[in-house]
This record gives sequence, C-alpha cells and structure tokens, in this order.
Amino acid sequence: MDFFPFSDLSIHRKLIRISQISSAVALLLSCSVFVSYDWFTSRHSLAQSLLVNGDIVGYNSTSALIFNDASSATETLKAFQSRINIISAAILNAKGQLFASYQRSDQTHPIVLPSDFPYHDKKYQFSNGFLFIYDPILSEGTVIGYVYIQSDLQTIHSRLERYLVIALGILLISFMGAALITAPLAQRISRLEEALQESEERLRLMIESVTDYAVYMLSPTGHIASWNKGAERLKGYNVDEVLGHHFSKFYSSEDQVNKKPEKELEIASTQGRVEEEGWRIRKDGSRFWANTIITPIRDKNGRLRGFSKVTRDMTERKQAEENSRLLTENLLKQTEQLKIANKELESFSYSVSHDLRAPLRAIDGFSKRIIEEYASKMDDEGRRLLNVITRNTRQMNELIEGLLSFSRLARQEPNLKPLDMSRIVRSIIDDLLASEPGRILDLTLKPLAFGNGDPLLIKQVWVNLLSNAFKFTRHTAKPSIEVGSFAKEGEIVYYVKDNGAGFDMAYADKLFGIFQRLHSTNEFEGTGIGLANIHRIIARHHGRVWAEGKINGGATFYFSLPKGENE
Amino acid sequence: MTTTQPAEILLVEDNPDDAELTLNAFQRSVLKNQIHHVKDGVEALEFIFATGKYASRAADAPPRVILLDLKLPKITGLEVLRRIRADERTKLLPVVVLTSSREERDVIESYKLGVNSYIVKPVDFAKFTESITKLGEYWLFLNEVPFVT
Repeated sequence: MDFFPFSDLSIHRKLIRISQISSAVALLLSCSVFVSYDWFTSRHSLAQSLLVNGDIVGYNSTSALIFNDASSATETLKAFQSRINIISAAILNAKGQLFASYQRSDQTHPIVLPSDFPYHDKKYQFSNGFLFIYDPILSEGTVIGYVYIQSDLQTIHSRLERYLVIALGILLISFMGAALITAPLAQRISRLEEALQESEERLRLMIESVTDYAVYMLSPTGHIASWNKGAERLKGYNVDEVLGHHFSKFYSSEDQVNKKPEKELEIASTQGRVEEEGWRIRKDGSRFWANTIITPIRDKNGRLRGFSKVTRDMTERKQAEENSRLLTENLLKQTEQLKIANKELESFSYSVSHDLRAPLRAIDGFSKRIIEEYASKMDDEGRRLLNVITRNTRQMNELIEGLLSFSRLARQEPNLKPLDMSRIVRSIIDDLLASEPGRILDLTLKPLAFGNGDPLLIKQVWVNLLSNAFKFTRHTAKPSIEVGSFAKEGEIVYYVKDNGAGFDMAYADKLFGIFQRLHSTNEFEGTGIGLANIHRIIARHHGRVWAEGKINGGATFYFSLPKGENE
Repeated sequence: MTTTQPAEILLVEDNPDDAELTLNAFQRSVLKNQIHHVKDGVEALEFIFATGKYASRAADAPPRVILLDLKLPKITGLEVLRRIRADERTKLLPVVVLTSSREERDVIESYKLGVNSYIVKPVDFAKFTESITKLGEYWLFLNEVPFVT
C-alpha cells in the first residue's frame, strides 16, 4: 500500500479518508458542472432579459429619436431604475453618439462607452466583469439608434456565492456522513487488519525464531526470498549474504553439476512436494546431512509464486544410523568369526576324537599284547611298568571322552520338556545300585518337583551328581544319600546330599571348573569333567549350580531350573 | 549249506596299527574267515567292484561284510559307503562303520547313507578285542543276508 500518500495512517483512518475524498470529488465535480452550467445560463438569461428591456426602451424611444426629444428619451431610460444591476444606460443615435443617458444613483463618473462600440455581429458582450448590451433601435427596418446598457453581474455572483455555500454545506455533511457510515465498517476492517497483522507477525516471529529448522522462501526460479534464524544457524549464512542468491549454493558441486536443485524444484512444482535427504554444504565448507521438504506456493489462480523450503539437520541421526550400521556390520563380522571359531573347535574335537584315540588304542593294544604274549619273558617290575602305561592310556581316554562331551554340550541347544524328576532319579539309582551289587546305602528320595529341561542333558546332570554321591561315600562307614527339591523365587532347586568325603569350602569355586579335582585319582577316580558339564548344562538352562560341604563332613550339590510360565 | 571257501570280510582301515589290532582280534577269536585288508577308499572300491588291481577278482563274489573306517585317505569312508549303496550289485551289502569317531554328524550321515551298523572302536584293548569278536560273530553267524545273485 505504499502508493498511498498517507500510508503511515491506520487502515481505519485510511478508509475514512478514502470515502471522504471520493465523496468530495464526486460532489465537487457535480457542483462545478452545475455551477458552470448555471453560470452560463444565468449570464445568457441576464443578457436576454436586458435585451428585452433594451427592446422595450428602444421602442419607447423611437419617437424621441425621430423628434430629437432627448428629455423624453431620458425619461424613458429611467425605467431602468427598477433594475438595480444596471449601472448605466444610454440611447445612442444612428451614428452611435450619446443621445440620452441614465446612471445608477451610486455612479459619479460620466458614462464612458467601451472603445469597441458599436458591435456589428452581436448585441451583447461580457467584459471586465460587466455585461454590455448594444441593442439597435429599428424603425421601419432602418436602424435609427441604439440602446446601450452596462450591467454589473452582482446577481450572478451572489447566486454563485449561494451555490458555493450550499455546495460547501453539502460537502461538509457528506464528509461527516461518509465518516459516520464508514466508521463502523472501517473499525471492523481495521480490527481484521490488526488481527491479520498480529497473526502474520506471530507467524513471522515463529518462523523467525525456529532455530532447529531452516525455513525460507524461494522465488519460482529458486532464488532465496526469506531467511530465518534456523537457516542462519544451519547454513551459517546471514540474511544479507543469501537474499536473492540461488539456493543451489547449499548443494555440493557434484549436485550442482547434476542440476539436482533445479530437478527438485521441477518435481516439487509438478508433484506438489518433494522430500529428500542428502549432504549440504555450510558457509564454512563443512557438510551436514539434511532432510529437505520443498513445497510449491501458488496463488488462487494456480500461478506458481515460489517455494517454501524446510531443511532439518539430520547429521546426528545419520551418524547414529551409520554407527548402528557399523555396529551391526562389526557384530556380523564377529558372529562370522565366532562361527569360524566354532567350526574350528568342532573340527578340533573331531580330530581329537579320531586322531588322539587311535594312537592311544595302539599303545594300549600293543602293551596288552606284550603283557599277554611276553609275560613269561618279563619280571614283575616289567609287568608293573606296562600296567602303568595301560592305566594311563585308560585315564587319557577318559579325559578325551570328557573333553568331547563337554564341547558337545556347547553346541547342543536344550530341548525343553516337562520332566518327572523322581522317575529319572529312581531309574539312575537303580542302575547305580545294579552296577555295585552289595552296596549298603541309606537312601532318602523325597518327592521331586517337575522341572523344565532337556531330558538327555538333565539326565546327565543327575547321573553325574548321583554317581558322585555314590563314589564319595564309598569309604564312609554309614553312607547316606538324600535327594530332594524345593521352590525358591521363580526357580526350583534340586539337591543331592551325601555324608561322604566332602570338600573344603575354600575350594568351592573350583568345583565346577573343567578338569578341577579336589581328590587324588588314587582316592577317588574321575576326570574332573562331571561337575563342569553340570555347570554348563544348567547354565544353558538359565539355572544355577552351587555346593556346600566340609572335609569328611559330606557335600550337598544344588542345581536350579527356572520355573516355566505354567508353574 | 557248506562253504568250501571261507566268507570274506573286507577291512577298510588306513591306520596300520588299528588294522593289526583288528586282525589280531580276529585271529584270537574262533573266526577263521578270510579277512582282506585295504588301506584307503580307492582300494576298497576297486576290491568291491573288482576293478583296478582287483580286476581279476570275481565281481559276483562280494565280501560278506565290510568293516569301514570313516577317515580314509583319497576317498572317505562315507563316500565309499555312498558308492556301495548307489550300485545295484552292492546296495544290499552289509556295511559296518568301525571308527574312532562318535561324532553325532558322522553317525547320522552314515545311517542316512544306509549303514547297517555303527561301531566306535574302544581304546581299551580288551574291550576292543571283545567288540571285534562279537562283531564278526554277529555278522557272519547270526545275521542273515538276502540272497543276491
């Protein structure tokens, strides 16, 4: 609205002024037309009426002119006294010489006829603010004289003055009327405008103050038309540095060569929106990962007026994605390496199983053959030494077996099933008793809670625990073994208690380590793999193992299994 | 039915010590059957199908039972087993895997290929001898095989 001379006024006042001015202009125009029309018609009618008067006076003065009776003509002229606007009048003879005259009472100077008298083509003339009449007097078609009248235009002037006063009055009234009519409307509009301005200001401030997003406008050609704080912060340019510049300056040179910015505008204007992510360049040359949304702005006729562009800095997210990608990659790599390691371990166990046992078998086999076939050629010491060899091969075989079973457990996924522990334990005890006929034992088998576990693996746990109990009570005077279970915070605990050799609690933490033994092989046979296997099996069931005991005071071994959902 | 020709046992074993122990175990037993020992998979197949250096052998006189080690040079025991089962002439031939490996995958693979028995060689010589003796007795005396022409 800069083209208005009072652009600094409020819209309210502007509206009133506009309505006042328009009504004044209309009024002035119509008044001036009327006044000028009246001006001309009143002058004309004044002239006509004076001509009529002149005609009458002329007619009445005919005889006076013919008879050269000037006083009678003077008398006739006095008829003009009734017309106060006539300043002076005269009868002229045919030669235009003064014959009789009349002057208004306020006139002091004698009559001076205008220099251009007599007129030839017209009977009156306005000049110098006066009306001059020059009416010929005819007698039988011959001009015998003239009536001269000089009249002022006082009546017309006062009439015009009245008109002006009226016009001014109307103007004033219309001014006030316009103000009165416009005021409420103007107030409403100004209120609307204020609201509009306020919301515009709010919006502007909002966009302006957004610092996390670069929000700016582009011209239809992609030149920057506005700039907010976020844009300044994100791109590093201030308003003056970018206004009017093409927005492609934020793109990498590669993107610029590929016309990526132009293509984005093209897509935005044809598809109504374009969202894109990519690297952008800051003023200082550093780059950031941007998420950009370009939306075309059209007027109500659908003409493209520009674009709005919202840019977010997603570098952190990109970084996080990148990190998580690297992490995943590393994890996959590690998993792969683990798989390879597992494979190697597997082939290691395989070769241990096959290759280590073959020579062992040969040592044992050939030693036995010496014992059997060459016993007579050896003394007792020779035979004892060979027996040491075969005993060690047996021991080594057990170690290999243990190692293999331990490594097999690592690869085996437990296949969980509800297990009747009482039944399992009873059948194992039966087997153990059968393998040691004549063993006298005080056995207490309490009812055992069902548990969730892999049947084969859990059976192995029980076998190990129970055979340990059998084994370590072998030298006890009154051996007793107790098996039981109890529930405890989300798990079921099973235990095997004996009154056998026991162990020193100081070494309790070593019990479950592989090949860890707390007794000599002479005392109790074993490889030290049994409890390690128990530990591994129970760990794979997400349970715990522990033990209590004291030397020659017996031992209690516990293992727990997590309660299933249905328990 | 009387046999003038003792039934043949084919022992496929690359480890000479194991082979000697096995042969020794057979000698100790009452079994006096003729045992033939080959040292790798290729030789085993040549013997079975009477090719190569065994071309002169009658192809229609297969061994009564094959004792097959798994870990063999050139052609593995499993491959030998696969080829035996793939051939019309030998697919019903009793094959016993006799190995040091008790690996689950070897057991499964052997049975998938149609092995008749899977025996893990005991390290203990007494047990080993006992196993071999029982094995021979079972496959040569107790077990009946289909009459293949």
